[in-house]
Amino acid sequence: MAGLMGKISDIGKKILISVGKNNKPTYAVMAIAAANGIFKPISSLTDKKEKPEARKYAALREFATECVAVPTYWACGVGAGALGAKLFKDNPEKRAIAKANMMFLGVCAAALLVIPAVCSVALKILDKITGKNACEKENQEPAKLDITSNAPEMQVHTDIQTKFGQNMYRPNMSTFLNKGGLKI
Amino acid sequence: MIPPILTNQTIYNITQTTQAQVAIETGLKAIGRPGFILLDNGIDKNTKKYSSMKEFLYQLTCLGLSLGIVIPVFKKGSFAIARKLFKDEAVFHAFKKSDDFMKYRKLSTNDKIIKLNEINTATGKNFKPEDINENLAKGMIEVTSIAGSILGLSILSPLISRPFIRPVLKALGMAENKNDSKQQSDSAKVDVKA
Repeated sequence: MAGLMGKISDIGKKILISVGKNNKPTYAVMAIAAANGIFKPISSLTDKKEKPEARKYAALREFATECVAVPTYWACGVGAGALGAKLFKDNPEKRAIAKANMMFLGVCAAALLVIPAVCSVALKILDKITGKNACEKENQEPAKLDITSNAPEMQVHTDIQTKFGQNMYRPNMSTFLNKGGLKI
Repeated sequence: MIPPILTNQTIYNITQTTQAQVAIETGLKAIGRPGFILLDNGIDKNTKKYSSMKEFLYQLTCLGLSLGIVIPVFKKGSFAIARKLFKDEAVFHAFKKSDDFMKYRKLSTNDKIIKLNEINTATGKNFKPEDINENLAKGMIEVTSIAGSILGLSILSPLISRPFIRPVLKALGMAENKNDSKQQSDSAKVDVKA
Protein backbone atom coordinates (compact mmCIF):
# COMPACT_ATOMS: atom_id res chain seq x y z
CA MET A 1 0.00 0.00 0.00
CA ALA A 2 2.84 2.36 0.94
CA GLY A 3 4.63 1.43 -2.30
CA LEU A 4 1.54 2.27 -4.34
CA MET A 5 1.17 5.62 -2.60
CA GLY A 6 4.84 6.33 -3.26
CA LYS A 7 4.38 5.58 -6.98
CA ILE A 8 1.31 7.84 -7.16
CA SER A 9 3.27 10.56 -5.37
CA ASP A 10 6.17 10.20 -7.86
CA ILE A 11 3.79 10.42 -10.84
CA GLY A 12 2.12 13.44 -9.26
CA LYS A 13 5.48 15.08 -8.72
CA LYS A 14 6.50 14.49 -12.35
CA ILE A 15 3.23 16.03 -13.58
CA LEU A 16 3.66 19.07 -11.32
CA ILE A 17 7.28 19.59 -12.44
CA SER A 18 6.20 19.32 -16.09
CA VAL A 19 3.41 21.90 -15.57
CA GLY A 20 5.82 24.13 -13.65
CA LYS A 21 8.35 24.04 -16.50
CA ASN A 22 5.83 24.75 -19.20
CA ASN A 23 2.23 25.56 -18.28
CA LYS A 24 0.69 25.18 -21.73
CA PRO A 25 -2.50 27.24 -22.22
CA THR A 26 -4.24 24.13 -23.58
CA TYR A 27 -4.04 22.37 -20.19
CA ALA A 28 -6.34 24.78 -18.34
CA VAL A 29 -8.86 25.38 -21.13
CA MET A 30 -9.18 21.69 -22.02
CA ALA A 31 -9.59 20.71 -18.36
CA ILE A 32 -12.27 23.38 -17.89
CA ALA A 33 -14.09 22.37 -21.10
CA ALA A 34 -14.05 18.70 -20.08
CA ALA A 35 -15.41 19.54 -16.63
CA ASN A 36 -18.05 21.81 -18.23
CA GLY A 37 -19.12 18.86 -20.41
CA ILE A 38 -19.82 16.83 -17.27
CA PHE A 39 -21.13 19.33 -14.72
CA LYS A 40 -23.08 21.85 -16.85
CA PRO A 41 -25.46 19.22 -18.31
CA ILE A 42 -26.01 17.84 -14.78
CA SER A 43 -26.80 21.37 -13.61
CA SER A 44 -29.27 21.86 -16.49
CA LEU A 45 -30.98 18.54 -15.75
CA THR A 46 -31.53 19.57 -12.13
CA ASP A 47 -33.08 22.96 -13.01
CA LYS A 48 -36.62 22.49 -11.72
CA LYS A 49 -37.91 25.75 -13.20
CA GLU A 50 -37.64 24.34 -16.73
CA LYS A 51 -39.86 21.71 -18.39
CA PRO A 52 -38.36 18.18 -18.54
CA GLU A 53 -38.03 18.30 -22.35
CA ALA A 54 -36.34 21.71 -22.26
CA ARG A 55 -33.98 20.48 -19.55
CA LYS A 56 -32.94 17.43 -21.59
CA TYR A 57 -32.45 19.53 -24.72
CA ALA A 58 -30.37 22.17 -22.87
CA ALA A 59 -28.21 19.44 -21.30
CA LEU A 60 -27.65 17.79 -24.69
CA ARG A 61 -26.69 21.13 -26.28
CA GLU A 62 -24.22 21.91 -23.47
CA PHE A 63 -22.68 18.46 -23.72
CA ALA A 64 -22.37 18.79 -27.51
CA THR A 65 -20.82 22.28 -27.18
CA GLU A 66 -18.09 21.02 -24.86
CA CYS A 67 -17.54 17.93 -27.03
CA VAL A 68 -16.74 20.36 -29.83
CA ALA A 69 -14.69 22.66 -27.56
CA VAL A 70 -12.18 20.09 -26.18
CA PRO A 71 -10.71 18.90 -29.52
CA THR A 72 -10.96 22.40 -31.01
CA TYR A 73 -8.88 23.93 -28.20
CA TRP A 74 -6.32 21.17 -28.62
CA ALA A 75 -6.17 21.45 -32.41
CA CYS A 76 -5.97 25.27 -32.45
CA GLY A 77 -3.41 25.42 -29.63
CA VAL A 78 -1.11 22.68 -30.91
CA GLY A 79 -1.47 23.80 -34.54
CA ALA A 80 -0.63 27.42 -33.76
CA GLY A 81 2.24 26.33 -31.47
CA ALA A 82 3.74 24.19 -34.24
CA LEU A 83 3.46 27.12 -36.63
CA GLY A 84 5.25 29.39 -34.12
CA ALA A 85 8.09 26.87 -33.71
CA LYS A 86 8.37 26.58 -37.49
CA LEU A 87 8.67 30.36 -37.92
CA PHE A 88 11.68 30.47 -35.55
CA LYS A 89 13.28 27.13 -36.35
CA ASP A 90 16.70 28.80 -36.82
CA ASN A 91 16.58 30.63 -33.49
CA PRO A 92 16.36 28.16 -30.54
CA GLU A 93 16.11 30.96 -27.93
CA LYS A 94 13.07 32.56 -29.49
CA ARG A 95 11.52 29.28 -30.67
CA ALA A 96 10.23 28.23 -27.21
CA ILE A 97 8.74 31.68 -26.54
CA ALA A 98 7.15 31.86 -30.01
CA LYS A 99 5.71 28.38 -29.61
CA ALA A 100 4.10 29.22 -26.23
CA ASN A 101 2.82 32.62 -27.42
CA MET A 102 1.39 31.18 -30.62
CA MET A 103 -0.27 28.38 -28.67
CA PHE A 104 -1.90 30.99 -26.45
CA LEU A 105 -3.06 32.98 -29.49
CA GLY A 106 -4.44 29.77 -31.00
CA VAL A 107 -6.44 29.07 -27.83
CA CYS A 108 -7.72 32.69 -27.85
CA ALA A 109 -8.81 32.35 -31.49
CA ALA A 110 -10.57 29.10 -30.62
CA ALA A 111 -12.45 30.74 -27.71
CA LEU A 112 -13.39 33.87 -29.65
CA LEU A 113 -14.16 32.57 -33.16
CA VAL A 114 -13.60 28.91 -33.95
CA ILE A 115 -15.64 27.24 -31.20
CA PRO A 116 -18.71 29.53 -31.49
CA ALA A 117 -18.64 29.09 -35.29
CA VAL A 118 -18.21 25.30 -35.18
CA CYS A 119 -20.86 25.02 -32.45
CA SER A 120 -23.27 27.13 -34.49
CA VAL A 121 -23.02 24.61 -37.35
CA ALA A 122 -22.81 21.51 -35.11
CA LEU A 123 -25.88 22.47 -33.09
CA LYS A 124 -27.93 22.98 -36.27
CA ILE A 125 -26.98 19.44 -37.29
CA LEU A 126 -27.88 18.25 -33.78
CA ASP A 127 -31.26 19.98 -34.11
CA LYS A 128 -31.89 18.11 -37.35
CA ILE A 129 -30.86 14.78 -35.82
CA THR A 130 -32.98 15.25 -32.68
CA GLY A 131 -35.88 16.57 -34.77
CA LYS A 132 -36.11 19.78 -32.76
CA ASN A 133 -36.84 21.90 -35.83
CA ALA A 134 -39.37 19.41 -37.16
CA CYS A 135 -41.28 19.58 -33.89
CA GLU A 136 -41.22 23.36 -33.96
CA LYS A 137 -42.54 23.38 -37.54
CA GLU A 138 -45.33 21.02 -36.57
CA ASN A 139 -46.24 23.34 -33.73
CA GLN A 140 -46.19 26.34 -36.00
CA GLU A 141 -48.32 24.82 -38.76
CA PRO A 142 -51.72 25.88 -37.37
CA ALA A 143 -50.43 29.45 -37.19
CA LYS A 144 -49.38 29.44 -40.83
CA LEU A 145 -52.67 27.82 -41.97
CA ASP A 146 -54.06 29.22 -45.18
CA ILE A 147 -57.79 29.01 -44.70
CA THR A 148 -58.73 29.53 -48.38
CA SER A 149 -60.79 26.47 -49.32
CA ASN A 150 -59.31 24.29 -52.04
CA ALA A 151 -62.31 21.94 -52.22
CA PRO A 152 -63.90 21.43 -55.72
CA GLU A 153 -66.98 23.50 -56.37
CA MET A 154 -70.25 21.64 -55.89
CA GLN A 155 -73.03 21.86 -58.53
CA VAL A 156 -76.08 23.48 -57.06
CA HIS A 157 -79.50 22.98 -58.72
CA THR A 158 -81.80 25.94 -58.37
CA ASP A 159 -84.98 24.20 -59.51
CA ILE A 160 -85.99 21.02 -57.84
CA GLN A 161 -86.98 18.35 -60.37
CA THR A 162 -89.31 15.48 -59.81
CA LYS A 163 -88.04 12.06 -60.61
CA PHE A 164 -89.89 12.07 -63.91
CA GLY A 165 -88.40 15.37 -65.06
CA GLN A 166 -91.34 17.55 -64.05
CA ASN A 167 -91.32 20.68 -62.07
CA MET A 168 -93.13 20.10 -58.78
CA TYR A 169 -94.23 23.72 -58.58
CA ARG A 170 -96.02 23.60 -61.98
CA PRO A 171 -99.68 22.61 -61.54
CA ASN A 172 -100.63 19.40 -63.23
CA MET A 173 -103.93 17.58 -63.46
CA SER A 174 -102.47 14.57 -61.82
CA THR A 175 -101.88 16.72 -58.77
CA PHE A 176 -105.61 16.94 -58.23
CA LEU A 177 -106.40 13.29 -58.91
CA ASN A 178 -108.14 11.61 -56.07
CA LYS A 179 -105.79 8.70 -55.43
CA GLY A 180 -107.21 7.48 -52.15
CA GLY A 181 -110.47 7.23 -50.31
CA LEU A 182 -113.80 5.80 -51.28
CA LYS A 183 -114.28 5.23 -55.02
CA ILE A 184 -117.81 5.82 -56.31
CA MET B 1 7.56 39.96 -41.59
CA ILE B 2 6.91 38.23 -38.28
CA PRO B 3 5.16 40.40 -35.65
CA PRO B 4 7.27 40.98 -32.48
CA ILE B 5 4.30 39.90 -30.32
CA LEU B 6 5.27 36.29 -31.04
CA THR B 7 8.55 36.57 -29.13
CA ASN B 8 7.41 39.05 -26.47
CA GLN B 9 8.66 37.99 -23.02
CA THR B 10 5.81 39.75 -21.16
CA ILE B 11 3.18 37.88 -23.15
CA TYR B 12 5.11 34.67 -22.51
CA ASN B 13 4.99 35.30 -18.74
CA ILE B 14 1.24 35.97 -18.96
CA THR B 15 0.62 32.79 -20.96
CA GLN B 16 2.38 30.73 -18.28
CA THR B 17 -0.08 31.83 -15.55
CA THR B 18 -3.33 29.89 -15.23
CA GLN B 19 -5.15 32.86 -13.70
CA ALA B 20 -4.35 35.04 -16.75
CA GLN B 21 -5.19 32.25 -19.19
CA VAL B 22 -8.60 31.67 -17.59
CA ALA B 23 -9.37 35.41 -17.36
CA ILE B 24 -8.53 36.08 -21.03
CA GLU B 25 -10.25 32.95 -22.30
CA THR B 26 -13.45 33.67 -20.34
CA GLY B 27 -13.40 37.30 -21.47
CA LEU B 28 -13.16 36.19 -25.10
CA LYS B 29 -15.97 33.70 -24.56
CA ALA B 30 -18.09 36.56 -23.16
CA ILE B 31 -17.61 38.41 -26.48
CA GLY B 32 -17.56 35.51 -28.96
CA ARG B 33 -20.51 33.41 -27.88
CA PRO B 34 -23.09 36.27 -27.55
CA GLY B 35 -21.71 37.70 -30.80
CA PHE B 36 -22.39 34.51 -32.71
CA ILE B 37 -25.90 34.28 -31.22
CA LEU B 38 -26.59 37.82 -32.49
CA LEU B 39 -25.30 36.87 -35.95
CA ASP B 40 -27.58 33.83 -36.22
CA ASN B 41 -30.35 34.57 -38.73
CA GLY B 42 -32.42 31.55 -37.76
CA ILE B 43 -33.59 33.10 -34.48
CA ASP B 44 -36.05 35.96 -33.99
CA LYS B 45 -34.77 39.33 -32.74
CA ASN B 46 -36.04 39.16 -29.14
CA THR B 47 -34.76 35.63 -28.58
CA LYS B 48 -31.37 36.66 -29.97
CA LYS B 49 -31.12 39.62 -27.58
CA TYR B 50 -32.28 37.55 -24.61
CA SER B 51 -29.96 34.60 -25.31
CA SER B 52 -26.90 36.72 -26.03
CA MET B 53 -27.39 38.83 -22.89
CA LYS B 54 -27.94 35.66 -20.83
CA GLU B 55 -24.70 34.13 -22.18
CA PHE B 56 -22.81 37.39 -21.59
CA LEU B 57 -24.00 37.63 -17.97
CA TYR B 58 -23.19 33.96 -17.41
CA GLN B 59 -19.62 34.39 -18.63
CA LEU B 60 -19.22 37.54 -16.49
CA THR B 61 -20.43 35.59 -13.45
CA CYS B 62 -17.89 32.86 -14.25
CA LEU B 63 -15.11 35.40 -14.59
CA GLY B 64 -15.94 37.28 -11.38
CA LEU B 65 -16.40 34.15 -9.31
CA SER B 66 -13.21 32.45 -10.51
CA LEU B 67 -10.90 35.43 -10.35
CA GLY B 68 -12.40 37.03 -7.27
CA ILE B 69 -12.96 34.09 -4.99
CA VAL B 70 -12.05 30.59 -6.13
CA ILE B 71 -8.54 30.92 -7.63
CA PRO B 72 -7.17 33.16 -4.81
CA VAL B 73 -8.49 30.71 -2.19
CA PHE B 74 -6.95 27.73 -3.97
CA LYS B 75 -3.70 29.58 -4.59
CA LYS B 76 -3.35 30.43 -0.91
CA GLY B 77 -4.13 26.89 0.10
CA SER B 78 -1.80 25.31 -2.46
CA PHE B 79 1.33 25.36 -0.28
CA ALA B 80 -0.58 24.07 2.78
CA ILE B 81 -1.77 21.07 0.69
CA ALA B 82 1.72 20.59 -0.78
CA ARG B 83 3.37 20.50 2.67
CA LYS B 84 1.14 17.51 3.52
CA LEU B 85 1.65 15.75 0.17
CA PHE B 86 5.41 16.31 -0.21
CA LYS B 87 6.82 16.33 3.30
CA ASP B 88 10.49 16.17 2.20
CA GLU B 89 10.37 19.10 -0.24
CA ALA B 90 12.29 22.08 1.14
CA VAL B 91 10.49 24.63 -1.04
CA PHE B 92 7.17 24.14 0.74
CA HIS B 93 8.84 24.55 4.15
CA ALA B 94 10.97 27.55 3.21
CA PHE B 95 7.97 29.53 1.94
CA LYS B 96 4.74 29.60 3.91
CA LYS B 97 2.71 31.24 1.15
CA SER B 98 2.72 30.84 -2.63
CA ASP B 99 3.01 34.63 -3.06
CA ASP B 100 6.32 34.61 -1.13
CA PHE B 101 7.64 31.92 -3.47
CA MET B 102 6.51 33.83 -6.59
CA LYS B 103 8.41 36.90 -5.35
CA TYR B 104 11.51 34.73 -4.72
CA ARG B 105 11.22 33.18 -8.20
CA LYS B 106 11.52 36.58 -9.89
CA LEU B 107 14.79 37.43 -8.08
CA SER B 108 18.27 37.13 -9.60
CA THR B 109 20.58 34.29 -8.48
CA ASN B 110 22.46 36.49 -5.98
CA ASP B 111 19.26 37.94 -4.55
CA LYS B 112 17.89 34.41 -4.16
CA ILE B 113 20.89 33.49 -1.99
CA ILE B 114 20.41 36.62 0.13
CA LYS B 115 16.70 35.85 0.53
CA LEU B 116 17.41 32.25 1.59
CA ASN B 117 19.95 33.44 4.14
CA GLU B 118 17.26 35.71 5.61
CA ILE B 119 14.86 32.75 5.81
CA ASN B 120 17.55 30.56 7.38
CA THR B 121 18.26 33.14 10.08
CA ALA B 122 14.55 33.55 10.81
CA THR B 123 13.71 29.83 10.94
CA GLY B 124 17.00 28.36 12.16
CA LYS B 125 17.15 25.97 9.19
CA ASN B 126 19.66 25.58 6.37
CA PHE B 127 17.97 25.96 2.98
CA LYS B 128 20.22 26.10 -0.10
CA PRO B 129 19.22 27.33 -3.59
CA GLU B 130 19.68 23.82 -5.05
CA ASP B 131 17.20 22.39 -2.48
CA ILE B 132 14.45 24.67 -3.77
CA ASN B 133 12.54 22.82 -6.49
CA GLU B 134 11.08 25.83 -8.27
CA ASN B 135 9.35 23.88 -11.03
CA LEU B 136 7.53 21.69 -8.51
CA ALA B 137 6.31 24.70 -6.54
CA LYS B 138 5.24 26.56 -9.70
CA GLY B 139 3.48 23.42 -10.95
CA MET B 140 1.65 23.08 -7.64
CA ILE B 141 0.40 26.69 -7.85
CA GLU B 142 -0.78 26.24 -11.46
CA VAL B 143 -2.46 22.88 -10.89
CA THR B 144 -4.36 24.17 -7.85
CA SER B 145 -5.38 27.22 -9.92
CA ILE B 146 -6.70 24.87 -12.65
CA ALA B 147 -8.60 22.91 -9.96
CA GLY B 148 -10.00 26.20 -8.62
CA SER B 149 -11.03 27.28 -12.12
CA ILE B 150 -12.84 23.98 -12.67
CA LEU B 151 -14.67 24.36 -9.38
CA GLY B 152 -15.56 27.98 -10.13
CA LEU B 153 -16.44 27.76 -13.82
CA SER B 154 -18.00 24.31 -14.06
CA ILE B 155 -19.60 23.61 -10.70
CA LEU B 156 -20.31 26.85 -8.82
CA SER B 157 -21.07 29.27 -11.68
CA PRO B 158 -24.08 27.37 -13.13
CA LEU B 159 -25.57 27.09 -9.62
CA ILE B 160 -24.93 30.70 -8.64
CA SER B 161 -25.80 32.30 -11.98
CA ARG B 162 -29.22 30.60 -12.24
CA PRO B 163 -31.02 32.66 -9.56
CA PHE B 164 -28.90 35.76 -10.33
CA ILE B 165 -29.26 36.10 -14.12
CA ARG B 166 -33.08 35.94 -14.41
CA PRO B 167 -33.73 38.91 -12.08
CA VAL B 168 -31.00 40.93 -13.83
CA LEU B 169 -32.54 40.24 -17.25
CA LYS B 170 -35.94 41.18 -15.85
CA ALA B 171 -34.51 44.42 -14.48
CA LEU B 172 -33.10 45.15 -17.94
CA GLY B 173 -36.58 44.64 -19.42
CA MET B 174 -35.57 41.45 -21.19
CA ALA B 175 -37.71 38.95 -19.28
CA GLU B 176 -38.49 35.81 -21.20
CA ASN B 177 -42.24 35.70 -21.83
CA LYS B 178 -42.75 32.64 -23.97
CA ASN B 179 -46.56 32.72 -24.03
CA ASP B 180 -46.85 36.36 -25.05
CA SER B 181 -44.23 36.14 -27.75
CA LYS B 182 -45.76 32.93 -29.11
CA GLN B 183 -49.22 34.49 -29.24
CA GLN B 184 -47.85 37.56 -30.96
CA SER B 185 -45.97 35.53 -33.52
CA ASP B 186 -49.00 33.31 -34.13
CA SER B 187 -51.29 36.26 -34.78
CA ALA B 188 -48.72 37.83 -37.06
CA LYS B 189 -48.29 34.69 -39.12
CA VAL B 190 -51.97 33.87 -39.71
CA ASP B 191 -52.80 34.41 -43.36
CA VAL B 192 -56.51 35.11 -43.66
CA LYS B 193 -57.38 34.86 -47.31
CA ALA B 194 -60.95 33.71 -46.88
